[in-house]
Amino acid sequence: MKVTKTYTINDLMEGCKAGNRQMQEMLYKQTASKMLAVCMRYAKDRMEAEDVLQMGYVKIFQKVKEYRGEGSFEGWIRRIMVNTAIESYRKNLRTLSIVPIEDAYEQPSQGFDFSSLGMQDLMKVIQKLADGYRMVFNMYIIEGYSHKEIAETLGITEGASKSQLSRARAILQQEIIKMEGFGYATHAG
Amino acid sequence: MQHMPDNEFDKLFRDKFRDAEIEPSVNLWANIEKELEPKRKKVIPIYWMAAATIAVAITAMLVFQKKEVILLQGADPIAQVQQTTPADVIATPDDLTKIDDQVVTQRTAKVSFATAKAETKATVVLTKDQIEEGSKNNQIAVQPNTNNDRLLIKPMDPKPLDVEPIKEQVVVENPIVMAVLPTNSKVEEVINENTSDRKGIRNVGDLVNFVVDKVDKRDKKLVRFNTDDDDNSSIVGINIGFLKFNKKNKN
Repeated sequence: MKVTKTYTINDLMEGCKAGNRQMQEMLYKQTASKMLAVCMRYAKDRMEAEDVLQMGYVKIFQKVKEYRGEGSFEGWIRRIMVNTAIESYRKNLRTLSIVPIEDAYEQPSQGFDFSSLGMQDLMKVIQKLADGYRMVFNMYIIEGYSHKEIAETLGITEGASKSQLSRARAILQQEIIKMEGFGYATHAG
Repeated sequence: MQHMPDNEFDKLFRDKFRDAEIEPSVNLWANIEKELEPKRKKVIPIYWMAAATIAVAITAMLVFQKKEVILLQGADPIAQVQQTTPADVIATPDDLTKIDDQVVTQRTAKVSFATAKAETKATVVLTKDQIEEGSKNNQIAVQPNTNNDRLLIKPMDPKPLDVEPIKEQVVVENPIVMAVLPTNSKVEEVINENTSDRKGIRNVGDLVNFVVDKVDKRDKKLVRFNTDDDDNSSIVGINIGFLKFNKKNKN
């Protein structure tokens, strides 16, 4: 990263609290690529993800004074990103409809071993999930929300959260097997 | 469909995404910076708007304050006059003394107003004392006065415009008061002379007084000029709600 090593993340946090534009930019440059990876999981494509990323950072710089040092600063930034992504999903909820997953898949990954699948490949699979499934999957498996919290946040029942999660798992496995060809089927069977 | 334990499956994803990084587009920071900029600039007009709103609110308060004062003073005496009949006057002396006091104080203001001499002060004090001591005479004397006051003013309204309304009121009161309170008559004769001399608008002070009289019906006018000495008009009273100043009341 381009950030000078003399600045720790806490220095940047203090600078952002003071409204220092240079410090804000340094914090952005140090954290943005990680945060975009978070946003990408929640979005359908890169464009949508970068919109969320932008909204998230504006929110971060506006709210940074409220950060009281509970947990790591990066964790706090990540939480705001996730919340922004969920908010964005809820805002667009009306215009979106659940689209069944297409069977078509273009470029299979090189390796046949499950663990050899790259993050980019898994990202593609996740992004192909229907919006509701993707939300529940991200919130439960990656972020570690409970089904109760997911139900409250998304305005669905706990049962719906659970069923959507297992459905999302099933779809993802299917997709990964397709990606690896027949490799995984014989290996795990 | 093949099945892998859920835990294992979840862990795979978690590990893959734990430290995942995807480089954002180059221009994204510029967009964020743009979004941060205008919000700082917007702060200033908000303060200006707040200041302007407060200024408007204060102005509005002052305007309404004036109107309220005028209404209160105009309504009270009429209500009292309509309610009290001569019979009531004898029955309840206490109530009347209150009304008398009000009438007297109002009159003292006018009297001292019109005649700028020291004599007035003395006579005014006398009338007050008299009313307080022997209430019967004065009650009977003043009660019809208040009644007549209102009845007589109406026909006399269409008088020439150049005569000041306040002076008229004093003149109207005079004949009745004279009959019962001999001490007052001298003072009010003096007033008569004073007011009779003043005909027409002779200078700017008179003009302002005239206009203010038409607009402002309070005892203490918005602006009052002393125009007794022909050319040298001097300001004697100001009443802008929160700021009140009256030279003559201090005498």
